[in-house]
Amino acid sequence: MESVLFWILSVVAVASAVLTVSRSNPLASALSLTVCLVAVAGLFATLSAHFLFIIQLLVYAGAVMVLVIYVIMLLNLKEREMKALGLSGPRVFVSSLVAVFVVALLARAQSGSGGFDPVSPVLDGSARRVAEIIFTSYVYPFEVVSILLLAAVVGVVVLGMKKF
Amino acid sequence: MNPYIPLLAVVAVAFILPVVLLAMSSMLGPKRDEAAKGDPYECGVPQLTPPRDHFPVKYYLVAVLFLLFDVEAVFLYPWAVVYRRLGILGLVEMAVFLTVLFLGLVYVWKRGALEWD
Amino acid sequence: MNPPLVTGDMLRAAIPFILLAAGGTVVSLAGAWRSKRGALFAALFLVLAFWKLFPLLDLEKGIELWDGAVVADRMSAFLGGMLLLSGLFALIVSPPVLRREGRNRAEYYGLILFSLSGMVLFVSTTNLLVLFLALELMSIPLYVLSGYNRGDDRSGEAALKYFLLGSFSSAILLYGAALLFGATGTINMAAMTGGDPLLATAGAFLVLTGFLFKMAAVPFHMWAPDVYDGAPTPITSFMATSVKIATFGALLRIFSLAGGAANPFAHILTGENAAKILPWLAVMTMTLGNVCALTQTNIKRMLAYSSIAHAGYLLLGLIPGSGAVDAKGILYYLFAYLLMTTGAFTVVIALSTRDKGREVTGVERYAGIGFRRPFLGIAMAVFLFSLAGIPPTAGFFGKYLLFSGAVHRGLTPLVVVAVLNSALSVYYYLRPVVVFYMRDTDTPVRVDDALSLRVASLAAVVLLIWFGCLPNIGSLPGVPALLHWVGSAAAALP
Repeated sequence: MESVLFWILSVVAVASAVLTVSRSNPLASALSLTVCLVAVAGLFATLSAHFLFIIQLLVYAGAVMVLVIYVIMLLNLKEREMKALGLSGPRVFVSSLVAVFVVALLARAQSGSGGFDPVSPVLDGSARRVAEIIFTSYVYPFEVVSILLLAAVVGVVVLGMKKF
Repeated sequence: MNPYIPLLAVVAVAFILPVVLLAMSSMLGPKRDEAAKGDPYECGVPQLTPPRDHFPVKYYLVAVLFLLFDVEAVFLYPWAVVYRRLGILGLVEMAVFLTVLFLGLVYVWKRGALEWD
Repeated sequence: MNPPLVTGDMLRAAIPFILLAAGGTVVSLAGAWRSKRGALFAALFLVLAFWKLFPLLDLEKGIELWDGAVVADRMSAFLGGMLLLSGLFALIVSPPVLRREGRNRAEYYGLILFSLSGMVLFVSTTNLLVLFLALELMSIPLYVLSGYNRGDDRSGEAALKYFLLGSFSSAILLYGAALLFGATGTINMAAMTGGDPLLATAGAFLVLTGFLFKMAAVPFHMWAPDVYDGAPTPITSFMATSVKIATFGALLRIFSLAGGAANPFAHILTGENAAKILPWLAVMTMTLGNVCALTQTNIKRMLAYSSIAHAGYLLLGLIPGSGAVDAKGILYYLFAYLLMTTGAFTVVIALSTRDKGREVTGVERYAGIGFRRPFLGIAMAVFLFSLAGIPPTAGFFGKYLLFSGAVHRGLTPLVVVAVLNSALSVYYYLRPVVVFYMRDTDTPVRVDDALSLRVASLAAVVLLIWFGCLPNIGSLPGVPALLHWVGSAAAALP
């Protein structure tokens, strides 16, 4: 059951990722990316990383993609300008190279010594376990996040407001 | 029973329902294609400018601000799961976090970044 | 499941960071009420943080904070002091520039404080999660600040380039962090041992790549000239100095952990299969920086390439050779670099004018300044001499420390290359001086005579010469005192 789900989600994730980089219409790319993010969210769920699952859906597939689509509409590319965005020889070559490298690396790590079992109990990703870690050992970094978000809020206003 | 089965059932329904609806409407509905039907709808007036235009940047400002406060809200989920066990210190932790971001909201509001014009 | 308690010791160690973050918040909020005193408020918080940081310079033993994720010791205190000095210079030289544009807003200073708080955190952590948070906290305000001149399209270009490439490099660092965690099962760099060597090494390299980008080392330097050129000059000065201090400071801390051969970062420094990559990076960085600087006619671009070259010299100190990482040399050099670079940019600010919303900083415009404005001429000459490494300035002494340290660690061939590079750099550093004194034009040059600019450049000149050659005079600290501080900061590392 789990492995069937894994294969379905993986195939969807990889296929939509390929579509994301190969479409020349940015809107099509953005929608493919949304599908990819949802599929990855599903993978998180099968790894029982529930918190990550919900964040991936809410923040990435939801809010961030809204932002991406806004940018696409802001730029409003012409057909002619979109042509340059599709796949080209060098881009395919470089990205395949990186992909092969990463896959080889992970494959070797999986088979090599000291490999890390991704579903070991250390990685219990339930909201409760994540919360325990955030609000005890990492409570100060957690407060720093609020400073970071505040700095970003100020930065957005400085750059984005019409009459600043 | 596997706890994912209800979830899968929901996903399946969400997937099948629109497919069935779309298939039915395309099979049962009448089809009369005309050139005018492909045009963007402009209240019956012939189209004057290209329908796709640059969006004003102020939409973007609102969107980014939404995103930042959305990320803030995300931290409330795990906190809500454990706040009883964290006790009073947990309350303080979240209060500090929210106060800092509330100051951010005050800033945005007072600066006038939420006003449309 | 008890949240950690706050002790007096912890508060004492964390208070500089808290003051900076609180300062950023207060000053930004003051901006919402259209305050014109942003620089003053920010300086207040900065000086307060300075005052609270000072006692930490004498800490016997490092104070561990945040479950050991952050360490406050003499090293982080010294680096923090330099960062605050860089921030103080930025606060002093910015108001004249912003007033010229009619955009003297408090948020600008708030963002500087936010960025500083990130840097102070960045140099005192060995935890990958905190490292990433601090990196973003220091970078995001800088992305915004480099695009602060919204009327100038080059400023927008700078912000966009810096943001896109910067966030990409952050992502690479984050991927490296993920690999390190995957290999070793911990995000505490001090506790990392063993694990799959290939995965750990790849992770360490990707983390290093993030650092190399921030310090603008070859081959991750492409953004620097455009960003330094397009950003408002006070911001260029601020990021050229503070970001270098922060990245080298954090690298010193990380590399000092690599003493244990099982640490992933040991693979980069001493590993057999690492192909000795750092020496090549250092050579490429200093050579490319100096060669490209030769042909620049815009002084901001020239200083950008010069900062790349200086990153190359500093990388020399990170190569252990037959010894350990040269923390002492790097710290002293960073101090000198901070003063001479800020000083040079301050003079550039005083002499720059605007043409149709664009800043004009071509070298040829400086003809005859040396005689018409003797102080500016002499100050600029001191800064450029120091950048070129000519005695009796701190720039010379810093180079001497770094290079002699490298010779002692058996890196003589590298030092030969570095000395040749320094000789090459004299050519382009002296060219503005030649224009200052040897040429003259009839076109009047507008000079900004703001008091704060004169104070900043005077302070930089005095400190550069003072800490370049003078001994301790009575209770006034001189070179030996600085060397003592640098040494005790370096000794705080494991």
